[in-house]
Amino acid sequence: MSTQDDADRTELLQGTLDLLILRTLRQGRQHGQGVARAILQNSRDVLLVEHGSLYPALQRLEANGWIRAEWGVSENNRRARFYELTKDGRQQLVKETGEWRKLVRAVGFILGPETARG
Amino acid sequence: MANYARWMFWRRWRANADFAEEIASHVQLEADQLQREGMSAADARHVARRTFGNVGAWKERFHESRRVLLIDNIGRDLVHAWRGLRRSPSFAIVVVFTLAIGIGANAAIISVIDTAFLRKLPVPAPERIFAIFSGDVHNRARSPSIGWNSFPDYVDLRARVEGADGLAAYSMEMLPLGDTLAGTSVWSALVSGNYFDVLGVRPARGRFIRPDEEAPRGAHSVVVISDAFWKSRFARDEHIVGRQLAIGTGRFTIVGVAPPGFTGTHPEGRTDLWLPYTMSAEASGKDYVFDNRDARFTAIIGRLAPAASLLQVQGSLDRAAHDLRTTYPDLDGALTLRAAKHERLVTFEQAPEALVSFTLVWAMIALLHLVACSNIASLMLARAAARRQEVGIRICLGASRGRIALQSLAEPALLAFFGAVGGVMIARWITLLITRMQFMSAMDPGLDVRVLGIVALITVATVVEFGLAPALGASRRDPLTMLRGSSGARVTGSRDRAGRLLVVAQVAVSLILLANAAMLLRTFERQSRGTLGFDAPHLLVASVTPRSGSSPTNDWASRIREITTRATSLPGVSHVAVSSGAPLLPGGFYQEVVVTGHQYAEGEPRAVSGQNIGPGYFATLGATLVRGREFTETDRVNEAGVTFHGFDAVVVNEAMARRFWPGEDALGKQLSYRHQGAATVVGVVRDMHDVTLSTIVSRVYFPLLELPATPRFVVIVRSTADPAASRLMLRSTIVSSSPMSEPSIQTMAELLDGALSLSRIGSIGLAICGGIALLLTAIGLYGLVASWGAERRNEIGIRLALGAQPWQVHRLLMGGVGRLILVGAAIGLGGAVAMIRVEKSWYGPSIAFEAWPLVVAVLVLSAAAATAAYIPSRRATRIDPARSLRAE
Repeated sequence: MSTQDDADRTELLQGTLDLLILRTLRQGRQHGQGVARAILQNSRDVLLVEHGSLYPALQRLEANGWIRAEWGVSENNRRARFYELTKDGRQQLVKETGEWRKLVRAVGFILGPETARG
Repeated sequence: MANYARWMFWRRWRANADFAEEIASHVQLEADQLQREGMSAADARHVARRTFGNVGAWKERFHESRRVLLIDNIGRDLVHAWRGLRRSPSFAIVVVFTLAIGIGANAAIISVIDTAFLRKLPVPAPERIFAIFSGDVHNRARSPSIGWNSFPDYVDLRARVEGADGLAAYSMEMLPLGDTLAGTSVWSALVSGNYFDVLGVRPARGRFIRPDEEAPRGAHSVVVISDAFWKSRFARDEHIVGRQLAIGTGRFTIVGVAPPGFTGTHPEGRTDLWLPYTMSAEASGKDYVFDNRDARFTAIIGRLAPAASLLQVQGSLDRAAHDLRTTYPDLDGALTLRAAKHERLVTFEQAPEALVSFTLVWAMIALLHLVACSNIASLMLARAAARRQEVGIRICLGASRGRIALQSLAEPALLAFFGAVGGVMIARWITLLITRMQFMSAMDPGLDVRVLGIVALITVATVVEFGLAPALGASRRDPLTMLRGSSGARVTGSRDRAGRLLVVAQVAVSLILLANAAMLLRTFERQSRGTLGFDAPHLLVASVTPRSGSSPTNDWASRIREITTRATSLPGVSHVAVSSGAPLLPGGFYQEVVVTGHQYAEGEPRAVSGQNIGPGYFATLGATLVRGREFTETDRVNEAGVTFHGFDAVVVNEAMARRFWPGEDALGKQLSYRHQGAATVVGVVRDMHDVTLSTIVSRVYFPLLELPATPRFVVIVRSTADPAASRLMLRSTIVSSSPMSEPSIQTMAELLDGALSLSRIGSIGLAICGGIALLLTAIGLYGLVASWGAERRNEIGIRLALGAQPWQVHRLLMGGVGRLILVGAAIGLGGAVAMIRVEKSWYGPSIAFEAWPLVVAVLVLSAAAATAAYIPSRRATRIDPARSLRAE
């Protein structure tokens, strides 16, 4: 199904899945499988979304009112449940993105330059 | 927020199916894409599915992510449990029935204890209510005095007690009603005018008795009725105030109704009427005795003044008692007074034995219930063993352990719910049964919130008792072992040991109860055959009360003589005697006597049972005089002939003689009583069961001379004529003697029946307890052997496969049971013998102590136990060896 070996793939950090889903949905409404695929492709096949955690995450986001869902038809005429960002969801995405960047920068400072190159 | 609420509402309705569809669509979309990337259709579907992983587990997790759906889960679990129970109705019925009995009996006893001993009087500030008891200076060393008082003493105290916001008095009496209610008597309080003011109760209707209605005597025919009386006798008549009620010989105006829940201040029965005590002659049809300082049957209650203490009251009581002793040396010469709190209907010191026996009964019932719950628990464990595979599958499909435990709890909860519903009904029934007894009628807790709360508490405790262990057990096991269908790890040793101990304890307890029941039944049988000490057949007993208005003077003695003479001439009559009481008829009394020459130990009670009897009493009864003579006409009248004080002959029974003159001849010995000179023992009579059937008490028989406070007497007739005819003739003889009211005539056989019914009820109650215990033991054994069978199914299968014969396996299981029964029976036998010993020391030699009731109990128990164990053991040997091997 994919070109890379399983060994190169990385498990998602706790809490990052919500952010990735919200980011993916900013490009438009999408169904669960589409979200999983998009995350895999946009991460250059590195991030494999555990399907089992995808749906609880979607449930969670829906419960928080950041996304909403409705049944629709996919491009190849399959019935699917489509999710889209709400207004609250956009704000949440901005907030979480900011926090993420801050975190990455901070962790980068601590780790310093990568030894292999340096 | 509103959005969120709407979403929650919507989400509650997001069905399983919807989520399943989403997952299906996901897998489909994935497969489509893989196919587009060049996979074959079949491969694509397969890979898509595999990638998604355990669909079921995610579904389960989806379930649990929705807390709101907990309710749905519980509902589904209950439906599931209901179906499970429907599949095994006999199990469900047995369990529900057992639970209902246990919950009901516990709730009934607890709420009666609560009403009697824990709930405070339904009056404002009940903690400030106190009571005054009288005592005797000679008995100070004894337990606290709880004697009653007289109205004259009360009137004196009312003026003298300090620190009290009023002092009231009441005297309880059974008053006969007239008119349409003729033939019924109600428990009534003859009260001082300030009774309700002191208590601070407000009338539900009309008004209460006013202080000024206390005097003059006979002037205020007013009565207050209880709420229960108003409901039962007047059908909640709205216009009850102002109606007339015929009581005794008088007509009374109903002036008010007491509030519901106020059953009076007297523990021995619910008070239905309250009247001024000065109306007692009219209301009872008897003579007015409340001006007699020696007529001590009045209770005094008071309310502490604000900022006053009981100590202050006691101080003034001590001074008052001292003054009364010096002012009335004849009557109050030994008087002491004591104030005690009276915030509850029954105080512990008033009735310690009542509280103790109720608590004991409750403890026994609670123990039986606990045993029942443990039994049900082991039945549930056996059921759970059968469901292991199902649970294993559910865990593998992703159900969390919490879910499994919760689901396992649904069945016990459902069972307990039905048990509780039945329990409420049984509790109500038992309380009605208890409170139907007159002396318990004030303790009806009704069907109120407290009772229902108690039932609910017991039910929850019950679920925990029998449901939690199997539920936790079910959720803790390793799913793979369960899936294989094997038992997994054997139940831990401690649980198994607990089960064995339980069975041993049950066998022992049931044996004790059964042996006791058998022994009591045997005692009862022996009593009804009669070693009564007197000759019961052909005896008629007539209780006679002089008609009110007749003055009981010497005239009275001549009337008695007249009745005696006329009754003796009736056809078939061989003996007639007059007495203050008859065997098994209330009418005896306790009299303090001082036996001349006897060294009384500190605190040794001086009161002995007494009875006033006329000449020919023992001859009429057919009792045996061991020594001396019985009273003759000459003992009846003293030299003065008019005022009777002091007569110098008494007859004692053998028990009395043994107690005070062991090894000596009682004849000629002397004793003194009241403030009289010494009286001489002129006769010793063989012990009779004339007070109760269960025991022999030391008795002194006095000559029937003095008028009792309530001039009631008994005519005993021995007649060989037909009882019905004799009864009629005796009646007309008594009625024609003018100042006598309608007598109540019973045959001795009827009295005996009445007295026996009490002990019959006791032994039947015990037999029922024994039966329940036996049933529980059987259930327990059944459960234990069934769970052994289930636990060791594979082992048994292997044994059978290796060539063991079914009877050998049978012997294996039954052997274990047999040892348990033996140990339990040995312990129980010891307990039963010890208990019967104790009872014998309480009730005396009338208790039958024989070997055969024990033997019967052991046989019955062993038979029941063996049968209960045999059924599941037999089932265990029918295992298909191939199946259990495969499972392993």
